[in-house]
Amino acid sequence: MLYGYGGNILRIDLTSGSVSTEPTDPKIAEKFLGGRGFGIYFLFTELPRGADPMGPDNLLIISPGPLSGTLVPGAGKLDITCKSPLTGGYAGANVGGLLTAEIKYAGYDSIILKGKAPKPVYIFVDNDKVEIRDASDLWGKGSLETEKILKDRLGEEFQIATIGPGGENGVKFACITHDFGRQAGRGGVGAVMGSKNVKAIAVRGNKSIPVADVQAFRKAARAMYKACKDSSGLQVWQRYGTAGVTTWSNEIGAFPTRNFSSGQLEGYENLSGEVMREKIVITDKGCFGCPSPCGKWSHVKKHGVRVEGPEYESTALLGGDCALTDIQDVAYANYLADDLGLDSISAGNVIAFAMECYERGILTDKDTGGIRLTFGNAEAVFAMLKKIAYREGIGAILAEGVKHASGVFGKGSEAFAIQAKGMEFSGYESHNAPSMLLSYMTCDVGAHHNRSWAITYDIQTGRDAVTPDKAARVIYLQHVRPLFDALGACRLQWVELGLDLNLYVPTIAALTGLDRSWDDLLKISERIWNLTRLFWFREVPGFGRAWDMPPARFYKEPVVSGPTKGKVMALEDVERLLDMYYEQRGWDANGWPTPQKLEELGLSEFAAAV
Amino acid sequence: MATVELMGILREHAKAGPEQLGPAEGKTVADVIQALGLPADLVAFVMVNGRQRPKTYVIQSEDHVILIPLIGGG
Repeated sequence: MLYGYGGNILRIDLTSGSVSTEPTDPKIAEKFLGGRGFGIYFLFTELPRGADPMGPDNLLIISPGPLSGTLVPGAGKLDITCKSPLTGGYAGANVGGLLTAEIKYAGYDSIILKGKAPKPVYIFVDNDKVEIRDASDLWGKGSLETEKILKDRLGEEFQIATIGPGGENGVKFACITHDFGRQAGRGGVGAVMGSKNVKAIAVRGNKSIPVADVQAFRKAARAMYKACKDSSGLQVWQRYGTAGVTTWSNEIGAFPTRNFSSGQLEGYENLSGEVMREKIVITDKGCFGCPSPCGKWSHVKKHGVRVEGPEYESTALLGGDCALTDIQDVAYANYLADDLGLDSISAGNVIAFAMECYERGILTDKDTGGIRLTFGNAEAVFAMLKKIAYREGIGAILAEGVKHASGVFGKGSEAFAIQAKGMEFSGYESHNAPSMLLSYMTCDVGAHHNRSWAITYDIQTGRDAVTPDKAARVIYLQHVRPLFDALGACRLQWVELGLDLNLYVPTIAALTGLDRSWDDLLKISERIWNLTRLFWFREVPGFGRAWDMPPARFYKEPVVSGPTKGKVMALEDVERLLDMYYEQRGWDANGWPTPQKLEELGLSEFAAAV
Repeated sequence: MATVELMGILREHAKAGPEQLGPAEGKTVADVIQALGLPADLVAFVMVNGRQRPKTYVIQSEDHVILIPLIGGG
């Protein structure tokens, strides 16, 4: 008996229409846990080398983890892995909501899609009954409308993930949406789903998850809930969610503003969590088993829509980076991104980048189709989101991401194309935060904060300091935070409520029947991290150190305003940080894991395939 | 009388306890943070009577001010 797991891997070949299942391999579960661990394991071992990310050979691997759907607080996270059309490397996106529990209850630890359906379809999963159903009538509809139609058609208990026009049209940063406003956002997972002609996935399950020691598990999980309930952070996080960060981020000069040229937006007070709560929030909205629901369901009267959010990241990129200062405009842009099926982080970035190009004269009215693409122009943001989703005019270039767009626009714009590995930065301006910048440089999907969020470490240890402990902190976080994505649970109970990580150890042991220490679990996370690194080397010709470097803006152009005005890192300091990081990771000067490190992690056989 | 409470690692970083501050009424939150010897950037949230306020907020009589750090991130 494989305790803590659904027990099966579901495979769907969209080209042939065949469906099969196989038991989950206990050895793989022990070595890679689940969630993003299963994602990279199957991607690495089954994707043909050099496969076109938008071609039928790419895999879309949807995996809950062992904690998903259990009594553990925040047990509602789902990983979606594929080869990224945005970066050409590894994509692992994570979404909350209720779908991960439903997949687990249907008895699956991964759903692996490959091939391409001859016409638009949706995947129907009702426990053991799996069908590929016609979705011709849904193609072209928004993500949110599609979910509503399928809910009405199939029943409220089905949990559904959809793509919007962005995914259908192959926007390289298209997302997958679930629960009317939760996204597997980054890396273009929605574009891959669209390339397979899959509009939606609907799942219902009502089986049980086997637990090794039910009494011990209940006791351990209840202790975790109690700790969450007693947390001093609960009142602020529940009231504001991630939007509570906006004020602080501006105060410390970390709020991406005008394409990361500044860290503080004039008028940011109008985007604060308190203003959002007072002006637009209707109620709180949480994921499966959440004791601290950070989602906010909002009514945007000015634009006549309802939307989940905006979360901090959407406010940072669609708001600050594009210099919008009305929370209702930001919320509407968030709604458009959701319904069109675009990652709001990348979308905000590419629009801010285009705005800077326009203000510098690199783009003209002729290029934009007459849109005055100036910072602060909310109507221009709304219009550009639609142009990108439907690949109209300049939108077709921006739909490829900021790295590609800067290559097309030229004229020095590469320096302010804010990306690493081809993925746009998320919401922390990092000119004066070496740990945070290193987090973006070395993140395994591209410039994203979810693997390591280290800016408070910079604050505690000195924001100008470039020291080995900063690399150590980033590595530590890159093992702890993604571990949650392998376990299929939310990290925010630890991050926001201060839940003691040691409480997870007896809980996981009671669930799985495997006695593992926290260090044992971190070693698995390190194994996963290094396997994703090998995947990059295998799939991206010439991959290495240069892919870990930030754009020149961070080491050549000082911050123009705000509390960090004038700050910029020296290029040699950026290089030094990377050297420290590689050395501490056991990687060589080009970022290759050394044979000794691979041996230590049990990955030598995988390296042989690279 | 207004009260000030510190959460998490702010207790370790503070050079003085809130009880040593004297009356907080009439001071800004930023003044109080400085008087406690705290790095202002470590204070992520200022909650006053259950509402988030900026550090420029002037503390009123009977206010309950909670200073909360942010360590793990979003």
